[in-house]
Amino acid sequence: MPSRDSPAPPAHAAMPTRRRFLAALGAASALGMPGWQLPPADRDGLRHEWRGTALGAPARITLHHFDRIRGVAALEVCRAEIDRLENEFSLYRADFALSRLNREGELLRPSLDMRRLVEQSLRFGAATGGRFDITIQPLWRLLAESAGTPDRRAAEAALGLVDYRQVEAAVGRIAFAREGMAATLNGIAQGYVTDRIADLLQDLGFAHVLINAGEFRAATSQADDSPWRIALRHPPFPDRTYPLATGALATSGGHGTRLSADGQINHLLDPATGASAPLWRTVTVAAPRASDADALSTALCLCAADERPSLLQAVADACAIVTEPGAAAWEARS
Amino acid sequence: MLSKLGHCQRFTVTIGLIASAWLAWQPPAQAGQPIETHLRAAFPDADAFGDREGTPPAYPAYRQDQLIGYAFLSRDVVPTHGFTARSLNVAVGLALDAVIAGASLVEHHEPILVIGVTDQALRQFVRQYAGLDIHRPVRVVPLGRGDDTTLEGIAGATISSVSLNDAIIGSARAVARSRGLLNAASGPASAAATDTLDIDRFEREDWAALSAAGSIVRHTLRASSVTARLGALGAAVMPGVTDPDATFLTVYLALATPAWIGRNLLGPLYDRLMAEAAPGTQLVFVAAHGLYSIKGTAHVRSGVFERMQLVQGERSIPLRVDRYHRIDRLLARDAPELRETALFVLSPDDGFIPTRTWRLDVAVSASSASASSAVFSFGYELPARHLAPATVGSRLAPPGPTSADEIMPLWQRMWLARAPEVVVLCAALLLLTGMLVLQDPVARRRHHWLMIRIVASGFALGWLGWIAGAQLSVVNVLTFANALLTRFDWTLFLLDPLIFLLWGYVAVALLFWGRGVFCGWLCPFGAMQDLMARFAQALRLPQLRPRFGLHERLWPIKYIAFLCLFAVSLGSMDAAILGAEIEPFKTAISLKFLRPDAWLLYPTLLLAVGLFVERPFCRYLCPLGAALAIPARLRMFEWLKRRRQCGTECQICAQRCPVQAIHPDGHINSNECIYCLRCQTNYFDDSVCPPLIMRRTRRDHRGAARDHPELAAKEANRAKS
Repeated sequence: MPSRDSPAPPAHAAMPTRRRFLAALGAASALGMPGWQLPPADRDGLRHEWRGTALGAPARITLHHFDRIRGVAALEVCRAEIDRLENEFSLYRADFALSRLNREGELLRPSLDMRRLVEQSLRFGAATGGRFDITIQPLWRLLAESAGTPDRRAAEAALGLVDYRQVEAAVGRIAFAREGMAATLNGIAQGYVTDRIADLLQDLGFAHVLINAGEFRAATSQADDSPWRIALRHPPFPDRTYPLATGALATSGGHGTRLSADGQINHLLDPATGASAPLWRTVTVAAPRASDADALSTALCLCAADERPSLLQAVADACAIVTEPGAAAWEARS
Repeated sequence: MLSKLGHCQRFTVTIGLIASAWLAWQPPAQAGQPIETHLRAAFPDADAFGDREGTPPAYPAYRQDQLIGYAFLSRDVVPTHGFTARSLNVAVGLALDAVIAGASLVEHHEPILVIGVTDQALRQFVRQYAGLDIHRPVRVVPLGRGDDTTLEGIAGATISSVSLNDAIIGSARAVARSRGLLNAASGPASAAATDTLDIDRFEREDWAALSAAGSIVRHTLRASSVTARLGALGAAVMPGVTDPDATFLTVYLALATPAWIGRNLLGPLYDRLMAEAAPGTQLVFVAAHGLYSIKGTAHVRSGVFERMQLVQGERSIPLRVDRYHRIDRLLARDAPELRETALFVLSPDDGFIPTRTWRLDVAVSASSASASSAVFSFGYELPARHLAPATVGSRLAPPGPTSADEIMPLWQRMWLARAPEVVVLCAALLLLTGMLVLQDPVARRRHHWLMIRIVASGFALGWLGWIAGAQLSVVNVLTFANALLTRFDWTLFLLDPLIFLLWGYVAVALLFWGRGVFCGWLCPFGAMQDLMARFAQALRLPQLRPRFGLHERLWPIKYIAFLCLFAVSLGSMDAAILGAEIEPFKTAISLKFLRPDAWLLYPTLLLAVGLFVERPFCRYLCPLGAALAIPARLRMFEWLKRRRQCGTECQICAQRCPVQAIHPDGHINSNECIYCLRCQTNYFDDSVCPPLIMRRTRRDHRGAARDHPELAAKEANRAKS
């Protein structure tokens, strides 16, 4: 991890998008680590791999199984599952469930997955005192459409619509209490997809699985009980590897997606003030489940240093690493 | 690079054939700046492109950081098209709604395309694709006959137009499918799939018979799994769960639409529901027994069951209360005690396709107050006996180009995808069969035989083993036996066409000629040992041959290895797979030695020993060889020729047999024989086989006596004295 006197990020640093950043992370893990490159679990035989995209980010599922046929079939099931959850959580198409909710203000008979994820998001909103809020979407959309330079009055109006407590999540209906509200699940859905794939593969009888669908999730350690080694990228600091035996790992940083040219307005928005997270603050969270790690890393990017310990308590068995140029690296467990 | 290419193409048009033939040898356009230019031409709306990613590879296209589609090069996606291996490359942009955003010709090196057709015409043709929805069938028709489902071809170049069309539409559909842009549950596909279900066939069966056939599927969920998954959520442990090995929940699933299942389960209720329902209605039976209620209570108010949903491929189907039907009594004989039963009457609008696999997701939470839950999935696959026989065949012949891939089962897609490899393998097997049938003429020509051996070994190792990855293994035998003992399903084995074909061939060859056809001709590792032994002998390394007594007593090791593996596999497949590492196949062939160093030790050792003792692994250790040798006792043909003198007067074949499969008494032990035909080359060789040598010298003598009587007489005298 970066030392205390790590240099400030160079001003001319190339502008990575969140996708490129993730792609680079995947590439680093593929090239740098023998545990990922070669079949570590030889007991489970051949390595099967699927590559594609999940929720707009590159995704990769690697599993080891002695039977080539079952491996191929399982990856096909995973692909369908990713597509299915994209239909729920993505905003890319108008007929996806979340787009319908945003357009119509309510969603009747949501799928089990949609209801669980919204409920989990709202619980997390409460546990983080609103630092994590899925109803940030009106502000996000405004900033994205205006390239980070919105009309001030419009921005205030959009911020006024942000309040996770105004979301009603019941078994048969999810709805917004106020006109104009909208939700985004970008801060947590990748984690949820990762968790679902992991559970599904476990139910299908696969061990020794590493999933990267935006966030990492290892189903079990490698066959020799050594952990998977994942590359942590906290630019501008040098990479390091993180041992992940079982559980999930999620990384968030303001530099992931920039909404304004200088990156001072980026995709991590504080629901209370509308301000963006500091550009080069990067948070990695390890937790048993990827959705928790994903949401917690988003929240930790936005909170002040003294709030971190209490925020970390929102997730059991979590471990967080926060780095920022000019500040000491912070590492703690809940 | 781009300007050079453009220049080259204009040059081509002017000069014609010669230049294009020369161009065909130029390397294809490389990634870098020019690629971006092509992508922009193909996707004018995009302002940025991501890196090349995914399978098939494509570049995500963004506008203002929102993904709006994919741009790709047709050659990246569908590598070969047209009349030469590399001919066409079109950059295509595909929006998320599966409409082509634009297309731009990157390069064409094809003489056929160039003759009489201007570059201009080609580019214009390609431009027509902008705005085309790839859900629809797209045909190219001659000029002037187009309508809205067709494109007009290039004057005088219909074939070129068609190959461009194939490249553009083929690659666009492949990218769309892989990214989930094609709407899988579109009307025609689901209608076609429903038709194949055999609803009316009925035979009376009890619960046990329905379960045995897989018509009712039973899943068990252990308390330990639930505790583990809930624990990861930080949620409380389930109250009332103490014993981790206890069964937490048993779930039973069935598709009740076929009368065979539905009427047996539900009796008259089935017929009433089916009569009242609209055509295309599906009945799904769900039952559970255990410590947890899958129904919950919230559905009474909310109208949706809060703890479960159906999932089929990309589709989630919430279980609505208005689809729910109470079952008072199960009519199937000896149905188990069930705490909860439910029947869901799914309307055609739900998009549920009965012939496809589906699953029930059940959310388990420790208490109804705490909402954090863990989800468990329980799968169902309709047994083939519930498909209509008349339409099983028609599933093989897909109706239309658009929906074909959607309905086609995975195994058929695998066969299509690997069609070139299947063709090569079939051709090779045909050649091998021909060689075996014509083994006598082959063996008469030692030189030809040797060539065939070396080529066959090279093919088995290089193509079969390393390129196609078709090394049969004892693991296949174990999984097959395991499937027979549990639930057998052909489609699983059909998923790997090469392995399937090879096993089919080996099974038949086994009954005809014994294990040798595989061991000597189709085993990549065997071929590797064979080639190395030839190499070692060419270098005149000393060759050791164990004494026959010792040799014979080492044979049983492989049988013991196989029987142990088989016994272990009955208990734990995992352990058996680990044990199957006695085969060096995985390290040496499947993984091409790309394994941690410790794993390389064993195959290297075997190959090193193999330099001095031929095929030590095959002779003493190979469990697959043992598994093949046992049924090979039934073999029908004895085509390996022997003479009366073999074993009594002469031991030459026994001495020269690479695996010492010939007993001192002269008979060939077919459990050991690798059918290399070396003994047969001896059999026909009148400079090696003593009876033939004798016959030849006698004939020579007779000839000599006729030509030179005085010499013959002298010889005869010497013999007498």
